[in-house]
Amino acid sequence: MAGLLLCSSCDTDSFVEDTWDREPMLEYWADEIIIPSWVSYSSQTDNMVLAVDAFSDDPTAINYDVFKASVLSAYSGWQWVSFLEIGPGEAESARYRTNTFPADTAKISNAATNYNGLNGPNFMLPSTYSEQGFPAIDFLLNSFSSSQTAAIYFANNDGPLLYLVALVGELNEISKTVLLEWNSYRTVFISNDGSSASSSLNKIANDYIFHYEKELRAGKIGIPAGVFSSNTYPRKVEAFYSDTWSSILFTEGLRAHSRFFNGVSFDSLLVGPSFAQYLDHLNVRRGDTTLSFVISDQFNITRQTSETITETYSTTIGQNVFKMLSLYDDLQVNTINMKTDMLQAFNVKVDYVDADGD
Amino acid sequence: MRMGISHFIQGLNKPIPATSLAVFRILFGLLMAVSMLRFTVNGWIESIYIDPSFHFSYYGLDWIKPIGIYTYVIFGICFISSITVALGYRYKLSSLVFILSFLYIEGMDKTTYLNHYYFISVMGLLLLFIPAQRAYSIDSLIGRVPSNDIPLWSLRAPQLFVCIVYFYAGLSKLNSDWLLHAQPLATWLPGKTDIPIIGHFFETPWVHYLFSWGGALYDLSIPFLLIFRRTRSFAFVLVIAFHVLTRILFPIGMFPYIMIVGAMLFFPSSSYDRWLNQFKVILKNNGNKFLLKPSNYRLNAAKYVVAVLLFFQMILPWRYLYYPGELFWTEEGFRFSWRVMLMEKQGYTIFRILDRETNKSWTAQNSMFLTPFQEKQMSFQPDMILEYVRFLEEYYCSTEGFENLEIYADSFVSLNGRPRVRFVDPTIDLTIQTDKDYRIKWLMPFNNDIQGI
Repeated sequence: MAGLLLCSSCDTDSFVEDTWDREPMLEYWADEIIIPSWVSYSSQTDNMVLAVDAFSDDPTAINYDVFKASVLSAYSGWQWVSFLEIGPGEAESARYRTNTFPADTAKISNAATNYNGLNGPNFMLPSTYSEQGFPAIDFLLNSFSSSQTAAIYFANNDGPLLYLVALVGELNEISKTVLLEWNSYRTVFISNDGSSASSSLNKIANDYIFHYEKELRAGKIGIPAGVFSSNTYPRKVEAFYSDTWSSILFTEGLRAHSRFFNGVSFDSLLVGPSFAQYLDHLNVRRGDTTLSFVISDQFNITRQTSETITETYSTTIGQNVFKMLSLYDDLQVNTINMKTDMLQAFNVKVDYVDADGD
Repeated sequence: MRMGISHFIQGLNKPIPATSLAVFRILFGLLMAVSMLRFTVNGWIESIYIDPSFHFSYYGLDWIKPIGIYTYVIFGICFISSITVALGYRYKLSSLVFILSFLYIEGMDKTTYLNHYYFISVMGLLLLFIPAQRAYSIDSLIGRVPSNDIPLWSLRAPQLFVCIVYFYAGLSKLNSDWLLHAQPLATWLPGKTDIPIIGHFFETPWVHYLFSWGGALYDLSIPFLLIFRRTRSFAFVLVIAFHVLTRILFPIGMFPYIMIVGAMLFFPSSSYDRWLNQFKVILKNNGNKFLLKPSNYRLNAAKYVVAVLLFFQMILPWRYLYYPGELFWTEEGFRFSWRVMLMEKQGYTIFRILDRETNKSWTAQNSMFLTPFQEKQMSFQPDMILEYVRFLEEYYCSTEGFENLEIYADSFVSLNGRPRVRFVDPTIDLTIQTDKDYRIKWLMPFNNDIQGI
């Protein structure tokens, strides 16, 4: 009653407003973003398999270059699915098996030297995460001064060559399994449109922010730049053994996050329901503008800052760590935006626990 | 006047039938047993008590800690004593074991503090001092208790406690955020549009106000509606409707059922005896119908303990008046005061650690030390922030050999739908702040006004 009296200022025609429907949003995410991203990544790993097979059949400098290009393209594609681990990806421990870095070079050398295709580590074991995936490929592939020397090395060392084949096959296998699982998981994902801690929206929002904070902000930038330690760790950057990959991979990851936030479809043709649209629907404003704009804008600012870093990340950390730190600071702003304002608006908790409240 | 008071106290000793209290004892015990099972089945003993390497303690109670895998034993003890309380078997011992084990569980980590656990703690303490085993119990069946009657005060005490909880919960809603801005419900309800039928209304502002005002009105009036005989049945229907609704809307576990059982205390014994008579064959009363002797000094002493306990319940919620600053911001005096579902706070807090001697500085990775649940709770609760700072200082001093570290917080909090703002003053070294300092000394000022209680 009292509520009705207080509402004299409300719009009469919006007595009951159109509510935000989660199901179409989840459907859009599944069909236009998540599944196409996995399809694309999976086909990039197919290319990697073809290229590594060609290289192992005929270890020439040209085949080496082709293979290396296919790795970079798949590693970039990985950045688009890394935060979309929900469901099948999680079940496969996809992120741990694909991109745990820094790589454990001693273990990799040890495993690769006398590898014959059968006597390798069991890649399913968590203890082997640091000797597989892209970081291991990066170490084996990129520690050479030229394509020529690389080709000669692999022509004379069967172990490391076979180990590369196994690593690539493993990545291919993971992506195929996840993609196949999505056939059945899609329905589960879309129909789980509730608001509990285990609902799809809550999980995606948590995964997304967790990934942004732990992988993009801390893993790729903060940890190597020494934010969390009294020293810097230039060797802890992603793809340390390559020259320019670190910044390429970071840029891809940042774009993937930014586009998911704004609901841009994988093929770039659509803009659909998203965190941004949901925030706008809830009319979350910050001063003269909307929270969705503030966050979206911060993504752009972060990208611009990252573009000022022209040297490799490991070099930049050694010579001008402040550039990396200012990139970290820009990333940090959106961590706060999303973890406080956005999650409060969505009424999503960041504890991943279905615990009681009162 | 003196006559009146002594008459009143005399009246409190008047013997009354024990059934209402016994029914409450049985249902309360059973609910507690279910609670313990639920905690185990959900894996919470593992994730909340055993897994974390660091635990947040209540002031002065840091000796109460989980004991590894044996934490399960404490829950086991609490479970068994819940059952024996329900059965009324060796009731005094059972209720003592129950409350000790329950308090130990609650004391292990304040991350999990919930008002309804506090409700259970106080109710458990009350049950220790009142003779709830005088009917429908094994103790009475085998003649271990002297009488089927209980003194009136031993029913009035838990009734009064239930009234205090509701009334204070209602009082605390009389503030501008709740009444004028419908917060935090205006933040919570729009996330619940998936609920069938009613969910459709949850993005509509007038519904937020309806729920806010309705909730406050319910809390303030339900004690009176339960007390008066003529409104009691209506009140009970309201109690069930209200708590079922909150159960649907919010993840509040066992709380709705506990409050429904609490409301059952208000029905007279006769209303239960009628349908409990069928079980009389099994749970036959022992037939001793002694009147309570005035010389029952133990029970008399218990009466005063109960009176003091209830008195504190009425005083404790007001202690916030003593502290400077906004209660919702500093949370000084927030716990133990029936401020239920009152506040939506989302925080983000990280710590910069500085060694002046070497000029080295870094940020602590909270996930190294805290579970996501602990990190979430620490991020907006000042006492937990300070406790964690002390832990970090000790950790880095002992593992990395630093001697004089300074720790600063980058902390942001969003309260009841307001845009997030800085929470802790980033220029203040938190290692030199103590729990005795007022929190406004190191928190940023709250530049908003929340009027009311």
